[in-house]
Parts: sequence; C-alpha cells; structure tokens
Amino acid sequence: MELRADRVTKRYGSKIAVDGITLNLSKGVHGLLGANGAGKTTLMRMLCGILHPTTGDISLGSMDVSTEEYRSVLGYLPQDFGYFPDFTGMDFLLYMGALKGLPKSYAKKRGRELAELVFLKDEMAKKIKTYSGGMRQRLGIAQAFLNEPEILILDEPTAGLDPKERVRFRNMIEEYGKEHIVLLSTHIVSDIEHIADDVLMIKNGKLIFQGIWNEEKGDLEQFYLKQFEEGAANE
Amino acid sequence: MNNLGLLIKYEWKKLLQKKMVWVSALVVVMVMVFSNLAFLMQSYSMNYTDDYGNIVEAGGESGYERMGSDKENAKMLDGRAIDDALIKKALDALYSPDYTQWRRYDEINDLLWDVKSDYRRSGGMDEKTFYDAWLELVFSSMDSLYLTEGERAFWQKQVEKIETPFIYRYNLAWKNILGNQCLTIALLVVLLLSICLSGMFAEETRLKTDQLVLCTKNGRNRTYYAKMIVGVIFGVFSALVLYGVSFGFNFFFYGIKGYGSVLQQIAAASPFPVSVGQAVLILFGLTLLAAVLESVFAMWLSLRLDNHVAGMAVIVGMMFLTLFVRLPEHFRVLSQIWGFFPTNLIAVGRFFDSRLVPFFGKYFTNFQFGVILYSACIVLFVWFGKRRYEM
Repeated sequence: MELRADRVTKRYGSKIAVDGITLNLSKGVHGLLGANGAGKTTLMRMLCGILHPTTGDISLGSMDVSTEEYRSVLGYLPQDFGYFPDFTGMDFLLYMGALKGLPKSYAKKRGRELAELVFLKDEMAKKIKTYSGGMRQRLGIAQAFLNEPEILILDEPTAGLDPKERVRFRNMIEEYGKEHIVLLSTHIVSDIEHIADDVLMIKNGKLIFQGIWNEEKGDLEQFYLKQFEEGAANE
Repeated sequence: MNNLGLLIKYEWKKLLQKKMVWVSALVVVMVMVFSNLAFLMQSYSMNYTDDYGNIVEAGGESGYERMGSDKENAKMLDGRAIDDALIKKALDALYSPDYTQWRRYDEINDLLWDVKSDYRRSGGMDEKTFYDAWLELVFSSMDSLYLTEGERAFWQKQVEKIETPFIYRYNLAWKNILGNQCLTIALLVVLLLSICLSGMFAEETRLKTDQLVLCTKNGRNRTYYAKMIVGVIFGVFSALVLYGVSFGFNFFFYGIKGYGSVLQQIAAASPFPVSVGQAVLILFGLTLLAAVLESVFAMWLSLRLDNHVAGMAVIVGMMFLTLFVRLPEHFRVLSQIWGFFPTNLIAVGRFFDSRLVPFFGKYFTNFQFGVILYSACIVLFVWFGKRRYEM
C-alpha cells in the first residue's frame, strides 16, 4: 500500500503553509528536508490527520486520512510535544495504547519491550516530570512504535538525544523502514544520507525535490544549503 | 478495541492529578461546612423599651442555645393548626412582657407578618383575615408578574389543592436547607466546575499533548466522550457531596422531621401546592441536572476558547451577572428567560414565581420547563462540542 497525498494545500488566511503537494510514499525511509517554517510540520500534521487540508486528499490504499482505520495504522512522533507530568512512563505508554485501541495486556507487553529497546526499562515506574529531556524523547519514540504502525511519521526524532543514542535510533528507523512507510523530518542531513531511500525537499510550502539521492548527484548537504541560500537571496 | 472504559480511567487520572482540582474541591467543601456551622459562632440578644422607658436587653443566647430554643419552640407548635386559637396566642405573646413568650410564637408571628406586614396596626388578625390575606398575597403577586388569564386559571386550581388551615410542622432542617443552602450549593457547584473543567480540553493544547491524542485511533470519537463522561460524573458528584454535607449537618442538628410540612409555612406567597421536603427535592434534582449542564458547558467552552482561564472567566462572569442583575418583570419574556439561568432557578425565590411556559398546548412551571430546557441544552452543547473537537 502507498501513502498518497494528492495536491494537498493548507492555508491560514492569506498565508499558504503547504502549497499543492503531491506525494506517493511506499515502503522505505523517506527523508524530509526543509528550513524552519518551510511547511514540514504542517504537512506531517496533515498526513497524521491532526490538521485538515484546505484542499486535496490524503489516503493509504482505500483508507482516507480522516478514518479510524487510517489512524489505527499510524505512529507519530511530533517535534515538540508534551506529557502528562504526573503519569509514570508505563502509565503514559498504557494510555497511548488505550488511545491506539490496543488491548491492555498487549500494550503492557509491548510497552515493556519498547522500554527495554529505548533504555527506559528501569525508569518506567517513575513520574515523567522526573525524566530528563533525552529520556522524554526516548519515551516519545517508544509510543510512536507502540502499535507497530504501517506509517511512521517522525518529526525531528533525534533532537535531545546524545550522539550514541542518535546513531542507535537511526539504525532502528532504517530497520523499521524495510517493511513499513517511514517519513523522517530532520535538519541533520547526514542522518538522511545514511538511511533515507529517497529525499523530499520542501521550500515555502512547495515540494522542490523528490527522488533518490546518490553520489552522482553530489553532496546532499551542499545542495540543501544552496537551496536555502538562493531562497534568502531572492527574499 | 474501543477501550472507552480505559480512556475514562485515564481521564479521571488526569483530572484528579491536578493540584488545583483538589485544592478547589477542598475549599468548596470547607465553605459548605462553615456555612452549616456558622450559626454556632453567633450570639443573640434583643433590646426593647419597658413601660418606664428603660432599654432592656433580653434573651442573651449563644448560637447553640438559640438552636436549642428554636427546636423546643417549634416542637411545641408541631401539629397545631394555624387557626383562630393559635393566631390569638401568637398575638398575645407578641404583647407579652415576657421575652420567652415572644420567642415561643416567633414562627407563627413571622408567618403572620409575611402574609400581612401591617397586621399589628390593623387591629390584629384572626383565622379568616389571615387566610383571606394569604390568598390576596398569592394572587396580587401574580399581578406584578403580568400573568395571563390562562396562567391565573392554572394557579387557581393549584392553590385550591393547598389545604387550609395550615398545620404547623416542625421542619427546621428542611427549612434551613431550602432557605439557605440550595442557592449556596448551586453557586459553589458553578464555581468548582468552572475551575476544574474549563481546562478539560484546553489543557491538552497547553501541554502539547493534543497532537499525540488526535492522531490515534480512539483520539477523536471515544476520547471526546470519555472526557465528557468524566466531566459530567465529576459535576454530579460535586453536587451530591455538597448536598450530602448540607443534609448531614442539618439532619444532625435539627432531625429529619418536617418533610411533609406545607411550603407556605416558610414561603407564604408561593402558589405551589408542594411540601417543604418536595421543594427541597425539586431544587436538589435541578441542581444535579444543572451540574450536568454546567459541566458540558464548561467543557464546550474549553474547546471553543482553547484557554482554561478564559473559560473560567466566562462562567464566573455569567454567574455574577445573573446573580446580581435582575431584569424587571415588565420585560416579561426577557426576565423569564433570565430566570432560567441555574443560579436564578435554583433558589427558594423561584417558588414565588408563578409565570408559566406554554409548550405544546400545556402549561409548564419554571421548574418543569427548566428540566426540558436544561436537557435540550446538554444535548446541544455535547453535539456542538463534538463537532468542534472533530474540526
């Protein structure tokens, strides 16, 4: 199945945040690059069904983005998200499990597995308000994987992680992308170079590049920076 | 799996983990306890001028002693018809130099004064003049409310159901709850719900947890209903606890007797053919329904304004506005609508309001129509909220 976005636009008054983007994403890791304010987060929030597009359609196979069916196969890690400070780590995962429609026993089992995977096993009984920024980010990663989603959308997932954790998590995404659709947004170009099967570049709400990036095309980071220098010069 | 039960459990957890909820609930319960014990801190005395022109202070009593003497005097009168003989005794007591004699018939003299405030100057009162004056009072109050002929005919039949002469009943607990507690509880419930429920949805935005919730399978439909169910149970439970405190203290101090005493014993101008106990139960039932309405309204505001403090300000502002601003009765429709705001409807004063609402060819009293109106508003706010949440 493919995740399809067909001429998706999002307007806020006269401002156009996302301008007629069309995408077809199949299994694999898809890297999304763009400067701050380019429209990446708005696009991802539309792909998650949090925001409704002003025009255009989003679907996975025959499932429309607004359906429960679609949301039940989705995992999302927002860039800047909050927690319920008095919940313990396990409470949070069980609550997310309930939201994702998972049976309690399964959510508990899967929560323990993921806690081990993100090195939070011994911290799960502690309240989230006692966690460090990196621990919270790892808990956020765990909740995104909780329902083994068909579509995994990650907005700056490695922010706040130390270099070792970042590499480990990058490998985890790469592995997951072999069987699932992963959309990864980050400013760290090298992460995308390492694991993305194809690259999407967004600028002023428009998709300016989509395709496989290989060495013949040169250095991705240089290309990325050039796009934004040009943007700045035009402004 | 729809996991509604689990979602409700976690919504409870979120609500009850907020310090603000515990603190405000505790403060509200303390206010309720204090309002039931405040009489113990009072003292009572009375000054009068004797035949020689000296000012005499009589009846120095503590609050506790006063409660005891009130109970004793009311029990002495319990079961007696308010007829010629009792009215004469009450009048004699009024002119007695013995303070304890006045106090003994205070309840009857208060009623005589309510019915005809100039009864001392107008040559006293007997059974006939009392009940004639009572009927005149009931129907003259209808003039000031601009009642139609149809409404008058309705009340004529209702008033005929009230048996005369009234039988005085000991009913101090019910009287106190009806006269002093029902409105206090209604106000405290509004205050508590505005503080605790205005953040039900808005807090998710503030904490930035909304984006995690909204993109999940149950994050839209079931989460909305889980929050609504928790809010409504919290609202109803708050009202029940406050009534529990009130019933507990009043029945402890005054006993449970007096449920069946005629309402006119404490609200002479009312045309409602109900007992004092029934009047309390009417306001109790309406408070529970209003608690549901206020809960869904607070949560709808939370969604609409997406701001906890703004939602709270709107509700508290409305409470003060409807409490202190009274629309004159000659704006018949407007003032009647104004009377349907919960803090206006849930008060003993509403038993004096004989204005009716014609609905599908039948007349409904304010309380009856209040039930219909509140139920309809609850459904509307839940529906509007659902639409907003799905946007």
